[in-house]
Amino acid sequence: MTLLKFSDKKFNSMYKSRLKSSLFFPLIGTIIMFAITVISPVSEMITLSNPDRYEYIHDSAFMNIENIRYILFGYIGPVEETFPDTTILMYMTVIIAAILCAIMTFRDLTGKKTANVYYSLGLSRTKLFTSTYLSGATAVIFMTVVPLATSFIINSLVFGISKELLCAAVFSVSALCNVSLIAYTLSAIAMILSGMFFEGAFFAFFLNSISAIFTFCICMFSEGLLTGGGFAHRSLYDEIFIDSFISTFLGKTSFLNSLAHSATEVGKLSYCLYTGSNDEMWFFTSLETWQSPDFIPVIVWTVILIGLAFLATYLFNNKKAENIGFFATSKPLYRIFFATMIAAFSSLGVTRCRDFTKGLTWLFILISLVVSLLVCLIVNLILSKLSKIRLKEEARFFPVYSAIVILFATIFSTGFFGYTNKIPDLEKVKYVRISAFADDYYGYYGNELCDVDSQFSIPIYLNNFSGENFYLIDTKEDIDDIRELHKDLIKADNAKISSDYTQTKIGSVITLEYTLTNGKTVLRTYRNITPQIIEKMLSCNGVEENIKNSIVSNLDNIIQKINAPDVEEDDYSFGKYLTVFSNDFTSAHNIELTAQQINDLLEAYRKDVEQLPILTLYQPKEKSLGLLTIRNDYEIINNYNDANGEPIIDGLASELSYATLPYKLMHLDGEMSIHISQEMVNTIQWAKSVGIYKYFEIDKTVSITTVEATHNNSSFIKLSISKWRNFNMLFNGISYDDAYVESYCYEKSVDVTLPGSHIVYNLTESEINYIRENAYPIYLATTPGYFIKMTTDTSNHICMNLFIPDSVLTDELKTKLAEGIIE
Amino acid sequence: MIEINNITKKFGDFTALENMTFTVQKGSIYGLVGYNGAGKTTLLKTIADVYRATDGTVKLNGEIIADNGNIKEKIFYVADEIYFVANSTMDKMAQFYAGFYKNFNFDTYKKLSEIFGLDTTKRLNGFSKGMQRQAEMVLALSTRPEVLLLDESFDGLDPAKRTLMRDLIIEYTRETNAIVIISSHNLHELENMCDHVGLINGKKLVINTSVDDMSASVCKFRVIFNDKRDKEDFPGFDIKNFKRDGKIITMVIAGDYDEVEEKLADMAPLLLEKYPLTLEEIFLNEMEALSYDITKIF
Repeated sequence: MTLLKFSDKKFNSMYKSRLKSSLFFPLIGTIIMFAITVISPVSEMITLSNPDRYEYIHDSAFMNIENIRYILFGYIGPVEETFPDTTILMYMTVIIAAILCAIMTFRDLTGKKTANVYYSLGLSRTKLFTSTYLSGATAVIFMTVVPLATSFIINSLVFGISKELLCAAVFSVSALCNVSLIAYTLSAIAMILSGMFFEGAFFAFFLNSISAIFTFCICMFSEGLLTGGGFAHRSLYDEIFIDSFISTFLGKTSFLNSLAHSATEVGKLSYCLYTGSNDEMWFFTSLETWQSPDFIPVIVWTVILIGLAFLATYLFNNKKAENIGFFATSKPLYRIFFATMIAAFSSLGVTRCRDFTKGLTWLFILISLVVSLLVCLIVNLILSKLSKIRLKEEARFFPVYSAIVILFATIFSTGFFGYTNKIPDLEKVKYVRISAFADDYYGYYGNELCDVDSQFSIPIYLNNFSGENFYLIDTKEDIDDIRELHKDLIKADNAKISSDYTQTKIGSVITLEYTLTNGKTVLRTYRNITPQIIEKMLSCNGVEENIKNSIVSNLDNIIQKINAPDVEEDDYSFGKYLTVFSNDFTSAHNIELTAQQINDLLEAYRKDVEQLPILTLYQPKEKSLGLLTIRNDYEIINNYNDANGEPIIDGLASELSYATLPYKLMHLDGEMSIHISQEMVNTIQWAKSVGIYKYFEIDKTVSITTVEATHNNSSFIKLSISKWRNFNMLFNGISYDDAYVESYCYEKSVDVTLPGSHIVYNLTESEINYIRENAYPIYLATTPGYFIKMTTDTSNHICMNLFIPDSVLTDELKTKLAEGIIE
Repeated sequence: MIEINNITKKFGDFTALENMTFTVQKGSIYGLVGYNGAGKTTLLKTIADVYRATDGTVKLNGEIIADNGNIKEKIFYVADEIYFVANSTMDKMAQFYAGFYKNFNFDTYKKLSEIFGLDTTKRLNGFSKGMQRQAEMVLALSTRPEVLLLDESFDGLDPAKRTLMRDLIIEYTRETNAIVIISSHNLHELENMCDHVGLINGKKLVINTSVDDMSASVCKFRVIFNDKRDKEDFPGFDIKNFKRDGKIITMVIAGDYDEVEEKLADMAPLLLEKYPLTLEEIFLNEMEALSYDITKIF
């Protein structure tokens, strides 16, 4: 009995001794965790205690009194716009602190001098390890549990305990403990296997990053080589917490990755707690009701954690103390290191070239593989000189690692031996969802009236083109159209680089999600999208119907608001201020409309949308008339100066009515802009009825001084649209941008540079006028054509960008525009 | 009693100790001698369970030491490279060791600290190397171990402290019937302290005997005959070393001290003188086979 007691005392003594060494970093982690999970919500609570603030939140669209009770605990997985960063900060904090804690805790067991003392003490190896391990684990658990428990207690005291709160608390604590203890245990293993402190510290971080490196490699292979990978396309850190991320490979395997482990769940949980039900926040729109968190990954990881702890004990029991003080004594550690490095470097080759053909991708993989082999060989040789064991012999495994990398690449390249290219049979498909573009549009080279901050909004009917939404296709005919599109997507993915503009890969992504009659889903993502495919997609009935429905639905909402019987004049929120632009922006007229006129305009436009093919709205076959820009209100620019720099607005603008106010003197923050082409008979009829049709006439008194041109088939444009991805296929007026807010006056005009453009000389006035009359301010530039930039004389100071398709150009004009094109 | 049974220790392909077997009785001070790199430290670390033997066992009082916490707490290993917990004082280290050695005696600790004149409240990293050795020895003796393993523990001590340390070890062994195994290159010191010695050479324990027996079993003789004689002229003698300078012959002969003298006397030498060998001479004599050729280096 006495013996047993003293045995416990020895264990406790070691535990206490090591605990002192291990506490520093977890304490820092605890402070950060407290700031995130306790201080932040308490300050929110204090803010809420202010009646004005409370009222505001109560009335706001995203918060109601029933949900407020969760607000504090929402910070367990922090809420509001900042929550993804804060959640990452939480995970980063506990992981890094746990790694550093392990390094400090096991430091004394990796020193030559210290090992003599600790290994000779009256403790078995198992007890020596267990007491050491538990001391660090205690510190790590303290770091995660105490702040979260404090947050939980505050929530309980202030708002009362609920089942959801309790469930979230248990999940968050267990998930974070899991993550931190796994990081801690992996680091402990690294320290055990290493002979020297710095080596152990390096491998502690390395072992913890292996899961992230592994998922990164697979993701790269998936994106670069896999035709129609079964995952949505998202980058890890941009969209990590957005619902669609869950569909990505990284999302699906996030629980394998320490950093992302359960982070998505915590994010969802936080959102659910925060918003309760029936809420409409801009993110997580699919998560409207409380969802119990998924504990299965946590349980799996707990089992893995226990396994890792046993592995660590086994490794420690069999550790050769004579290796302490020597470098590179653990062959398994270095094998893992070299294998991972070779795989990681090889996959980096994929990232360099993923916008090119598969052949090039393979070439880059092989080049990067050779480079990585050379780097690893050199590293190996250097290590061999420094190390005690014959590490040089490890190089004989390098071909094996390379073969595994090539095998993986082959599997991905063949689409899992053709599996991913299989299109579901029509009769087995219940419905299909298609996303247009995953990438945002910037409107970068869109039309711009550079004299003021002419911020034309993207026309409303094009909003839904910009891609985050999925279009639901559920009739057999429409599904078959999508299947045909799917075939083209597969072909395009394997196609060689083409000189034809319509076959250029534009660096966007199309995702198809089939839901089968048996309830299963088939998700396919394609990266090599061509203008031709965009056109084909827009020609699909199902897609067209979706877009039209969306536009019509938006218009109906607006019309309904305008016509609501209880709408007072002050509440009338939809714009009554209209500006009519000619298609080349040289003519602009302001008109103040009545509610009835606005209603009639939207009704007319609605009819045109319903009657015309959607592709015609994007690519009118007839001439463009111009734009109708509608805004709620207008702002007079106060710092407008004349050509001599003298302010001309003082005492003038306030006297001018909207109709007589030059548009240059207004801050054009348009509610929406409608592009009018000659096919839009209903809208044209409305324009004629209110007497504004004449305003579409271009102002030929405005003289053009410079014309610049670039063809969309030029290598610069191709590079822009395929590689840089900042090129807007949908050529249109730019959307509002804060960067332009201060540049109200035309003297501060923003010059727009077209990539690869050149000044066109020798154009006659009639040719210039022809271009002005036939060019489009908005156009889906999937057909070949010229981007034209025109600058007017100094008295007008207008700089506009237009698009003119090849089809409307004469051969002579084509030749003139093409002259001097830089390739 | 410590029993070392067929201990073999390999470091990868290199064999440091091979089939080493010996026992050390209670109350014995055992000196380990050997060239640098002979395996003395390896043997001590293997006994202390810092290293795991590749083959063979080490037992204390019939129980295997390896991974046996209850037995290991009876052993204190003073390594050649001293370690103290960072920024600790002797008092803190005493507290540390008291947690692992149930026989730790604070009275002994206090008395020994006073004898060595060490300030137990000062940080140990401010101590000189010699003072750190003294501190480590104070702590080691305070744990009152059954087995004290000392690896070059006299290095860096001034002569007065060496003597004090030696006397303390002898006194501790006598009082507590403990076992002390000490490795040192100072053979003169070992000779004055140890009752048994072990000589490690070529991975093996080539001599394992009591100091008294060793002195009695080998002796140096100087003889002069009236004629010139070679080694072959002395059949029946176990001659370990033979040197001739003219007619003067110096020999180290193993065997019973008196018998050898009697046999030599029977050969009617003109002069017969005998000298007892020091431990150092025995060590050098044993190692003579490995004599270095230092000619033609410079």
